[in-house]
Amino acid sequence: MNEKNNIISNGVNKNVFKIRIILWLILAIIIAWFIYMKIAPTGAISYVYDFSRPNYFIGKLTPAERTKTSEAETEIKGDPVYFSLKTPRRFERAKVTIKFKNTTDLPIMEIGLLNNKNAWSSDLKPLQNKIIDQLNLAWSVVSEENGVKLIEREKKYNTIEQFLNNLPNKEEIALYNYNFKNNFLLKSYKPSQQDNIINYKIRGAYQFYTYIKQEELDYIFNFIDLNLNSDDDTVEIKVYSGDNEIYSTYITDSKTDNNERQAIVKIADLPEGVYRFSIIANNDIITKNIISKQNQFVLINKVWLADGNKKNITLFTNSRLINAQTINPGSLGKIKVGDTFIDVNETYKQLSVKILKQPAKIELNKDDIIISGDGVFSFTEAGLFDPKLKTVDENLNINDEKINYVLTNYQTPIDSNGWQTTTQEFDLTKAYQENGKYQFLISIPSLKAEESRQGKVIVKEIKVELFGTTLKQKLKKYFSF
Amino acid sequence: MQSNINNIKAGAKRKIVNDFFSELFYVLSGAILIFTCLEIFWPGIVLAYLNLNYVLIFWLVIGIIILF
Repeated sequence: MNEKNNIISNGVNKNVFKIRIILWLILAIIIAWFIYMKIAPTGAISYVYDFSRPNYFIGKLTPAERTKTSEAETEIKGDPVYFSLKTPRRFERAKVTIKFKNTTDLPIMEIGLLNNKNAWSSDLKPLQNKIIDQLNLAWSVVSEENGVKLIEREKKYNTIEQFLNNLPNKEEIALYNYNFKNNFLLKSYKPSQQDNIINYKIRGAYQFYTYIKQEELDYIFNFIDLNLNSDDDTVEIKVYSGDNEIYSTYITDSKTDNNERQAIVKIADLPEGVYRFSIIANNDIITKNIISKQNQFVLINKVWLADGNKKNITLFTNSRLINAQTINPGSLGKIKVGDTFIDVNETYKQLSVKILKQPAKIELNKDDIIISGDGVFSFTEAGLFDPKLKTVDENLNINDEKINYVLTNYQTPIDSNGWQTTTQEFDLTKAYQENGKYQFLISIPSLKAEESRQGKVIVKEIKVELFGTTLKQKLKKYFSF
Repeated sequence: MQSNINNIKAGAKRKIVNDFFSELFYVLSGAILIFTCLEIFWPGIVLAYLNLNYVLIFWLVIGIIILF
């Protein structure tokens, strides 16, 4: 009897041992899987957010007032909307695939990755361009293996190389998502012998083009730090030739009582041409004035004329759509734009007007107003120049502007059961990261939450594929010296 | 005699079930401790895939079963 009891007891103990081993083994496997997903030893990992339940890595579309989320999709009601991406470790590239439907009359839908928080700049890439999709069907198309397409109103060129070597009048060309090397020259330009003072107060970040010919690129910027917030108010100045950065400098926040700072940019031996300055600063920084030997100065896309400027400021622009906004109740009022007016009657609200005839004159009675558009802005009519070719966007009228050629690197989205899918790749090494999160944005220009519109823009799914160094490469690098 | 053997077998089965729950309780306790430590050192490593609240509830239920 006792023997039998012992046999049963031994059997039970063995079973307990087996259970113990199995359970701890399961836990070990789970932990190993967590570590595997964290390290991503293959150097690649992907996440999918289909809006049915929250995703730890891909954030929901925000802000809430510009989106409407239902069971398994999100409707975008205003431009732009944002989503965040949290990565388990450092990756170099992100391939983002968006499954969407755009039944509105708005032709452009783009996706971008935030590169700089102060300048709020992002690298925008196409999701959909309905204008090019239509031209693809109606006009003659020359395609290359690398994805570049030349769309011609009438068949004239057989290859893109042939087109680039025998360019037609640049007024007939429009670009979209194509890096066109435009050798822009101002034939009547003569270097100035004296200092030119741009005596307008500009708030926050801005960009401008300047031009040099057999002279030194010479700019002095005088800044004032408003210190409205306690953040670090560093100013970064970058100079570009085409898309290549040729110079950059930082003006650190001294954190002293002296609120004035100066930056001097002098670059010699540069070839004749257009150079782009990018002033990256937060809204605490006001550029008090700019002193330069150069007499060409055009602001790109946006200017915030700060409080304390002289009254009755006049701007000239080649923009086809002009927006005005203010955060200052004292700056509310009408702005004359060409033959029409923008009635800025509400703070924080962006108001727009379409201009049929360019260049247009903008007359501002008050300052502290943000003026933006799809072109450039100059303080003098004679000084207005734009080295960029026309862009195929919602403001371009292909027929009225006599566009005969469209050069693009845009790929039409893949259609599946009425849903469009587009994939775009982003460089994460240059992207801005806050609390370990990258910020992406989806832009549908002219889509405003407060305006009713026929059709909808719906996002069904966001897929992110991340690529970086593999564990093997990392170990090889670590043990190589 | 046969009934005694049956009683012993039934007792052994009960013991196996009790032992299973006890072992599960220990493993879950270990899991909570390890997961918490992992979360402290590498935030998000566990929470990205598993809600620790569910593990805690499961652990509590198993603990109550063992007591009764």
